[in-house]
Amino acid sequence: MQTKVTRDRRSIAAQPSKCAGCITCMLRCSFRIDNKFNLSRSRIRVARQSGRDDEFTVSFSEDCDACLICARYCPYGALTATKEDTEG
Amino acid sequence: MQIGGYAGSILYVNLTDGGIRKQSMDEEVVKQWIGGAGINTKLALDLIPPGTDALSPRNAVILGTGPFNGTFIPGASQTMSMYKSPLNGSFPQSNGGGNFSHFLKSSGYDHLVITGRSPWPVYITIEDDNVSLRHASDVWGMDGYDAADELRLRHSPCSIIPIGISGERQVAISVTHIDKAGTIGSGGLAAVMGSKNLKAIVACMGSRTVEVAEPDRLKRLVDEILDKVNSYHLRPEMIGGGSMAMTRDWMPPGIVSRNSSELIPYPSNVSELKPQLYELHKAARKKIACATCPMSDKDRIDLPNGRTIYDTAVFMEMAAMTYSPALGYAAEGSTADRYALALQYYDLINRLGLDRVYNFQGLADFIITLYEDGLINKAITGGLKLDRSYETLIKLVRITANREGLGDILADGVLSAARHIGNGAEELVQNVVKGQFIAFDPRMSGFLPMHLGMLVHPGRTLGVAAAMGAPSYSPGWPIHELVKHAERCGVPAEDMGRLFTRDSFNPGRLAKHGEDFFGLFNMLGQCHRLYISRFYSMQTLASLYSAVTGIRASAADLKSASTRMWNAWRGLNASAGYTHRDDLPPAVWFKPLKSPAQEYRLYDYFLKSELSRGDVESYLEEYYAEREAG
Repeated sequence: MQTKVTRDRRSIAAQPSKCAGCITCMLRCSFRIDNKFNLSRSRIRVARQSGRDDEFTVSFSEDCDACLICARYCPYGALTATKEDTEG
Repeated sequence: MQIGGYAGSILYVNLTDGGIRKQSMDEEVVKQWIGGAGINTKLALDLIPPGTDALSPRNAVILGTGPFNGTFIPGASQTMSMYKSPLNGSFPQSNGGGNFSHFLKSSGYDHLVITGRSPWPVYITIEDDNVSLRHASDVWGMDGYDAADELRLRHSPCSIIPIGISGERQVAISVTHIDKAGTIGSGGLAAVMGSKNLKAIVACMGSRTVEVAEPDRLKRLVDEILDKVNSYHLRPEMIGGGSMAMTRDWMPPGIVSRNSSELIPYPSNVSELKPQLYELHKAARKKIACATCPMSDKDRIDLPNGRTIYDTAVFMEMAAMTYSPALGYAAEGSTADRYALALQYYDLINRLGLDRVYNFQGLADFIITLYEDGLINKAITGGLKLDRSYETLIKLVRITANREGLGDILADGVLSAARHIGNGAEELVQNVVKGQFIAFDPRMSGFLPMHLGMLVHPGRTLGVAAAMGAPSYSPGWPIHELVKHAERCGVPAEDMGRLFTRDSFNPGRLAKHGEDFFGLFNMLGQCHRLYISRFYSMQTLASLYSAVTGIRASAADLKSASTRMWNAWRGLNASAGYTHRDDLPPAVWFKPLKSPAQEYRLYDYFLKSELSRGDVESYLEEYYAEREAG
């Protein structure tokens, strides 16, 4: 699992300190895959860390294709999307 | 079951024999009762006989989700609970946030029903079909937050409903928290869990899917709601300051004290202190959000003294209490010291699991007043000198949660404590309805639809149920704003004449429609806090419901379903012995609330006319009539 993912000139970087743990990104990710909600199939994972004052960790699975939808729906700006312009 | 939005099953756990059973949801039940508080009410009617002892194995802990949970609808975070209350014998309809509802559904369950009593302390873990009862002897004795931390280490990713010490000791005024965030179970859910030797319920992340009927329509509807959320002008401040940001300008004139007879005003410079408190709070706060919540009103606070505390939403009023001598909320010191001490009090009460707002706060004031007035002495208090210091307040929290000495008398609530004390104490119980305190005294604000709700709901005084919109929380809004609020609650045009005249309205009749709106939130699994519910109307909920479930339902259809649920729930509480007589307003409302500067009396919504007992009782009659009208 990684905290930044880059695919085909698209990348998403997580800033866990901004994460509030709402798991909207996980739900939106799984919904994008097959129009169904399934937390375990999400390619982004938010986890609450016990014993570390409830900080959240944010990571991406190997099969994440950096579609950027998680960043678009993150309410707290914890996911930064970058898309390189391929034209010209 | 082929209806979208549901996981499809109810999980039954019998702690006496360890029996675990999964049952498919019945489509007709789902269509009629929708989910959450609706299906919980149906289950309570079927499973908990009216005469059940709340702390016996026959009582059931019923947890429910709705069809919105498991989706990305903003604010679809709530887990709804129902059980027989050991505090007053009613069936509370209590809900809380966190992530539990989403995680329970990820394992394939919409509802969870726990009965029986384990021979030894256990906790339940749920992960798909792997449902286990695990020994809890090593977490028994931990406070609710420490237990949650320990269980998260073992079972992450998961969501946890633990109980604190007060639950273990079967304290009737106990509550608990989901994921150290969402308060749930006023009226003693934690005590019921404790009576079952159940330390915690852990919903692990499962592998099951929640499907919806019309994905594209749902996406479009959610995007429309998010557009409104993102353009809400107060949202950036709310994300920084949490609930305190929303309540910076709202302050009662002081704190009701001495058994609801006096108002202790805030210091004259409170308006200068508020910005200091707010800046301290913003700097110390880390935001925590329940599932799908774009507002993040839960607080983790890193105090200036190095301690980390949690609360389910710190309001400005709570911080300002640090300057009031009314109930020892803080010792002396700088603003930062006072803020830290007050928040440590909230943290302690949450960890131990006492209901502060509707029980402990009033109860502590009541017992201290009796001591000040010489009605009880050190023989009753076990040698404790009761005064209004911070130290006394903390002692009272600890002994109540642990049922030690005087705390054992306080643990079962104010009515039980007064009966135990005798010596005329029962006649001195004031501002209490159905065994719980009215937290927001109407003499300070004017009579709001919210106060009507506080009279009629058995269990926790769910005034918010009858409010559900800014014009019904605060007095004096122009009539067209109240009409707009009624439209949002789904009141049909042809019924408006019953609620409104040209320049006035009937709070009893309006309250019924606020309840219908609120009830639907509780059936769908949706958060009803003001800063979330403001983005929804009955029509929005109906559109979302149709997109999720595939069932064509109008706003009127859903409003009718909510009315049915309320009426059935009121019937359930009637079977527990509640009648209209229990809804009557406390006598103290019609006496002056005295402060050094002025007397506060009960006035109407527009603060024009003083209200008599007869006026409030006529509001109640109008409420009943509106409820019967459907």
